[in-house]
Formats: sequence, C-alpha cells, structure tokens
Amino acid sequence: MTSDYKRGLGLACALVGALALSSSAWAAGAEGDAKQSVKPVLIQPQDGRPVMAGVKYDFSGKLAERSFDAQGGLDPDALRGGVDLTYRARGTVASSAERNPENLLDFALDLKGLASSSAGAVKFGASLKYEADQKFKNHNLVYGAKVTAAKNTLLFRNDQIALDIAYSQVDPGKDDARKKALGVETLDKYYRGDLEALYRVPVAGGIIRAIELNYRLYREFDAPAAIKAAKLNKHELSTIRLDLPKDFFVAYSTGKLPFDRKDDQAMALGWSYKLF
Amino acid sequence: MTDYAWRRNNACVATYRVLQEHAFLDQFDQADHPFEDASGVKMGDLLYFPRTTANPDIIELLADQIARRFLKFVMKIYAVDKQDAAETSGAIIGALAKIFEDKKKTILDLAEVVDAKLRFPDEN
Repeated sequence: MTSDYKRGLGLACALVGALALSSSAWAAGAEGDAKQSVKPVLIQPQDGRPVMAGVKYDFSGKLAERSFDAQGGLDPDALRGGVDLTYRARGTVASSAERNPENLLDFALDLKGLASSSAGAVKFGASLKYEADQKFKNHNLVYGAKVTAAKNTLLFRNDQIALDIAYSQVDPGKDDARKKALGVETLDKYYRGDLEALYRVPVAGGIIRAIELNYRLYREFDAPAAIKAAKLNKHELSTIRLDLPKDFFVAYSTGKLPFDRKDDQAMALGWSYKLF
Repeated sequence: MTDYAWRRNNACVATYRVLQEHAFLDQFDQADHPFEDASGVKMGDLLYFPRTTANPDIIELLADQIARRFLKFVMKIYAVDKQDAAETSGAIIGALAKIFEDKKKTILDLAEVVDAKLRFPDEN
C-alpha cells in the first residue's frame, strides 16, 4: 500500500472516528439536503464510432451535522459553530468502458467545522476523494486538510492575528517552469503544504494609522531532485504595509508565489504606494 | 441595495458610535465621515479590514472576532436584548460577522442587521 493510500485511509478513519466518538450528539443530515440525479445520456466516443448509451449520476447530501451554538441570553462571548459531514458521488457509466471518454467515477467525503468564542476562532476542513475509471483498473485517492485560526486584541487593543495552514494536492497542468525543469510535456499531481500568517495592528497618534504584516510559504513534499535544483519546491512571499491617513499607504513585498497562486497576489512585488 | 434608511435611530447611532469612537472600535475619524455621510462607508475601507490577503477563511474568522467586540460595545452603550428570544447569540454574531466579512457591505448594511437582530430599550 503506497504512503498516499495510508495517509488517505488514516484520514478516513479519523473522519469516521470523529463521528463515532460523539455520535450521540450528531443529527443526521436533513432529507432536504440530499440531491439525486440519474439520467440516461448518449456518449460520443472519441474514436469516431457510433454514439453509445450511458448513465450519468450525481448524488450528494449531508451525512451528519452538529451545532455548537450556546443557548441563553444575548452574550457576545457565546460559543458558536458547528460541524458537518457531506458526501458526493458522481460519474458516467457507459455500455463500453474502454470507449467512454468520460470514464471517471468519483466519491468524495468532506468534513467542515467552525468554532468560535471571544478567545478566538478556528475553522477546519478535511476532504477525501476516491477517483476511478469504470472498471476500477485505474484509481486514485486524493486528500487534503486545512485549518485557520484568528483572534483580535491579542497583543494590543484591536490588533488582529490569523494563521492558515493547508495540505492538499496540486494539479500542475499549466506549470511551464515545472515542465521545463522535469523535461516533460505532461505533469503528475503532487502534494504541497501552504501557510499564511497575518498580523494587523492599528497605531494611535502619528501619521501611520495601521501596520500589516503578511507571510506566505508554499512547500512541496518529496519533490523530485530536478524540482529542488530549479528551486521550484518552495515559494515564500513577505509583505509589509503601512496605512496612512486618507486611504494612502506604502507597502513593500518580496518573494514569489507558485504558479497556481499568481492571482492571489494582493499587490505587485517591490514597493507599492498611493501617496497622491 | 437595501431599503433601510439611515437616520438617527438607536440602531444607526449605536452602529456609528461603536465603529467610530476611540473608546470602542476606532475604525475611522469623525472628521472624515460625519454621521450624516457615514452610511455609504464600506467595510473594506474600515481600519480592521486586512489589505494584504484575499484568503476568505482568514477574512471570515477576523470578521467573527470583530463582530463579537462590536456586539460587546453595543451592549455597553445600550441595554439591548434579542429581537427573537429563540435565536441564539451565535446566530446573531454570525449575522453581524457576515457584514464585516464582505468588503462591499456598508455601515448602513451593518445598522440594518443591528436593527433587525437587537431590541433597544424604547422598542416594544
């Protein structure tokens, strides 16, 4: 059993274990959450042969949910949040598996939760997806997890701090730098850890109204030697921004983002300023 | 666009005071946005809204935290209670957080939620 499957099965056991431990407090997902769609389709194979019959299905719903919202009078410190477990199964089955261009079935489980109080807020998510072709000859297990935490008034009044950590599979299909480094035309997916840390603090008096710091790290695990040699296995981006009166600001950013995060860049690298 | 009108009622005044006053959230200067002109100020323009990230989870959780402090300060100024006794405090905080999370929402949108969720002393 590959290490990926071990990790994926471990995550599945954790999801089921979380359900079992508190099973008495969970509510089953409402019937209204479930969606089913099964419809016959005509599939045009890519080999130019006649169309064939098939069935496209899509089932999704909520398996269980639990709310943490505290009851009682109006309370700004009240505990709030909940957890839910959802599923989705979809695919297209054809009369001939070999000629089916949509030969992909997948089943996914998603666990999401939020818990917050005046002490801070935490949000987490974990997902597990099993993909296979119609005959289950080729199959793949994909998993991911993410946790985010935030709090304000930690060090100074009205300051804010947040941390976001994710572990997920990346599809590098359009990463030309990676293709060049590996000397290939098509790329395999890989797993990566992402981290983002943010701190924002208002500044009383003086010309600076607020200071914001942001650090991001993206790191590929078990990267091939060619990727490491090309320094594509790790990306970092650091940003500092000073907010001035009348919506003016000065900011500096250094580092680089991976190919699939280019659109996340909040500002150009180097100096950015809106002084006039 | 909301039909809610910005005016000197408890909800709008409480929203403005808690957002603006130095003793509370201190999000802007009164000289920049006097009460009469404050309804259109966007959440994205307030001091708390992060400028170096578009991470929706970070923004969502920071909005939760500032919503709690907002509610705490409103309760400090006014003896408010829930409009709907069956609604949880968590749901009310969640409704406020939804506004704080959206940089395009305005102070008017926040006041509307305050008015809808909280009962002020002079209301039946």
